[in-house]
Amino acid sequence: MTVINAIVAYVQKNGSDLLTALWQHITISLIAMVITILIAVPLAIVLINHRRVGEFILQVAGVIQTIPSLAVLGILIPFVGIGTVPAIIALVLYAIMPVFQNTYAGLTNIDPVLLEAADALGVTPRFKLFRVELPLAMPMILSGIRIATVLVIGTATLAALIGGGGLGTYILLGIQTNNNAALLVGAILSAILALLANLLIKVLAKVPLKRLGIGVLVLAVLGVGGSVGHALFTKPTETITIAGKLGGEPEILINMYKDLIEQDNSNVKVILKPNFGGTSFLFKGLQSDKINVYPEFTGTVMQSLVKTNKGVNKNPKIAYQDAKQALKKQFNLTYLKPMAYQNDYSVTVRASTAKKYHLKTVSDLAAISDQFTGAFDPDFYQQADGYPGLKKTYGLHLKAAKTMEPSLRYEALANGRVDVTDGYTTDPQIKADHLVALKDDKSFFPSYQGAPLMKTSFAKQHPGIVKSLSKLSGKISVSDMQNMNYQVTVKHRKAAVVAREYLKAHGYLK
Amino acid sequence: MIELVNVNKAYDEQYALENLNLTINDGELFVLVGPSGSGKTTLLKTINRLIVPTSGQVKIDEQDVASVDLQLLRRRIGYVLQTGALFPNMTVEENASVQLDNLGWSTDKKHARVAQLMAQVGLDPDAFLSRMPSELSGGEAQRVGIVRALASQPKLVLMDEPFSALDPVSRRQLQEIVLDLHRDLDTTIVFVTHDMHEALRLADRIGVVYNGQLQQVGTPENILTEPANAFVGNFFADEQQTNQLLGQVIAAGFGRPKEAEDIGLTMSKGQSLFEMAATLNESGKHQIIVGNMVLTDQDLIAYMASLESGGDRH
Repeated sequence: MTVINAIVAYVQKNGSDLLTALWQHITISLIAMVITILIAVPLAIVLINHRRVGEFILQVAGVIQTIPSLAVLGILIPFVGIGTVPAIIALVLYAIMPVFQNTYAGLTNIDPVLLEAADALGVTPRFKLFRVELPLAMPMILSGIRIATVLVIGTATLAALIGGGGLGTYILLGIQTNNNAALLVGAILSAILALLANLLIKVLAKVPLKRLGIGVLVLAVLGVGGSVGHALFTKPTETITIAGKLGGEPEILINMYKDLIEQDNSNVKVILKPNFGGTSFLFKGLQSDKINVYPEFTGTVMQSLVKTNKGVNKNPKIAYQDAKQALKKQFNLTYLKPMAYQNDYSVTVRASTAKKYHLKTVSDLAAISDQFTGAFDPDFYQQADGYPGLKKTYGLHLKAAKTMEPSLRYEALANGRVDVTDGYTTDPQIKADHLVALKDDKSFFPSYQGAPLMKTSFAKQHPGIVKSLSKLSGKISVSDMQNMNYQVTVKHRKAAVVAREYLKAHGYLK
Repeated sequence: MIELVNVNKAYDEQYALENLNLTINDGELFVLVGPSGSGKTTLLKTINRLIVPTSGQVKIDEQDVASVDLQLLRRRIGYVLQTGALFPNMTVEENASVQLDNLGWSTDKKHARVAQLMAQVGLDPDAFLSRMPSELSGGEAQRVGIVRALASQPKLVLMDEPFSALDPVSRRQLQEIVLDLHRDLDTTIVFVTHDMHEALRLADRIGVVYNGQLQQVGTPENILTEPANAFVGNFFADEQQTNQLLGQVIAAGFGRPKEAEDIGLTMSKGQSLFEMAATLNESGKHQIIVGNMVLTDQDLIAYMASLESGGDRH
């Protein structure tokens, strides 16, 4: 029951966003299917008279089908970038096989006696195709379209991975933020959508071809008319796109960006793409102008994006300067000044433990560490800047230390099964589970400071936007961020609302 | 007039038709008969160029069919296939109007023409025109097939074993319809069958095909009484035993010339003794008229007695 309640609550709270995502999902799937049909059906018609080529294409389409969809998306990124377009291309590649195969089979399996009859009666090629061959192959063609549509609606959830939007956004969000309600809403909606589409095509299959054609035409005219009308009646304003990585924290940040920019620049409209993807997706999206701004961390810049033989400097100010200069030099990007909080690795203990043993810093812990057990993220457990480095730098020697799935380690800590874990300083669980992040008093962990990243050309053309974004530099403390993450990830409040509350409370927004 | 001049058709150096010459006259009901694989269907299909001969010429009204636009040629030739071959996605009316659609007839004209032909083949237009082929029996479907072939008022209709898949009763009814239509419409019909009984019943002239060659061309009586070779003789042997035709009875010297007062039941030379016996039995009459001859029940008995004794009247 609690799950159902959570889902209902989630739908009530996110109704309009869900509708947008649903609409996006339908649009992506529909466009992909229209393109698929426009390619696959004529191709099959042409190849029906070139059987050898037809069989070959059938094999090729079969091979494409076996490539995992995620891999297809990955392969496409260098060629077409990220967003809706590659998602549609990938979906089309997927859907072509069943439609082509069924159309081809439907056309080849027509009773030869009927084809002879058509020939013998001297019908025109047009008549033969549209009145005899296609109608006779239609049940097969439609079942191919049905299979492909269900496939496309299911696979379209992956579009969210490369910023294509749709219901996958909620599935991804659910996984990233451990929000089962969001995940279920996304999954259930896409399943219902697939079932409905399946049903709709079954019903449409019974409508005569002529009437179906008229229906499609009317819908197309309405659609084109509607979008032209919409374009005519909306004022020309500049639209910029701001994206965020997966998770609650980037979403809060980009909502702040949006509010600040739109308050200061009345002619600018900001489109947000939360949960747009991983670091490389966003970085490529920025370079190919798919997105204009996204928040990035100094540590990530130094370790993943720029080529450097320097590590991440222990001094946050120097670390930022290193990152800024490297980005400018290597990619001609502008990296604005970071916010106050650092989303660093931390060593975390229960608040009760900290109180009992008077633990404030990692050094405090190290002094009595042989009394405690620890559980760490597998990466952290192995990396030089993780547990091995801690041992060396602080002389930390736990009684026992093991690896644990990241999502479980806070729970293990809160339940008292272990006493020490790694984490990020802004993790909301620190607040929710009454934990304490110990101070890194020897500045062992590299510094991760967040700041807006954009093309230098963009920054030059939009000084107003740079000014708005700069309002956050040096602002937002660790506990502020922790609190906001808590509101979004644990309490499941909307990132936009949480962001706006913060901005208003601190006087950035009127 | 249809002429086949030195027509050859080879598949992988195997002759399906070998140096074949044939003339079919206007208005004739010409039946091609032969065992399966003999080449009779191949021969038929060279006429509307569904099969292109390896060499030789096929001419309709002096014009080589190879020189005519294929679709125009075929739109002017009716074609009936083995199973009716109606398009399952179209109604009976749409099926019957296929050639008319392609010839650009108006809707009213199409409807009138199809409805008239439907009545002629014994299907009520109001009941049948809007049905789908799946709602028809085999015999009904083949009647619609015939309507489709005749709709454009073709001067030539080709029929490729049209009744071979039907039950004996339907087959008989449809043979009757073909004979009626042929009489009424003044159409040349080329009819393919492997059933010599059917050939004898329908044909003005028969062409016996075997091994890709015409073994004999002639009237039914001709073929029964003077088989050109052993194959033709054997092929019709059973018929000679069990199914004598009225034409043969007259040829054997039975009957008397028709006089003015002789009116009543008329039968054709292609009908059998059994049919004559059945007709007399049903009607209670004692004589029938065949062409310009009169045959009585006494003639019937005498002819059958002569078969038993192995000679004829003279």
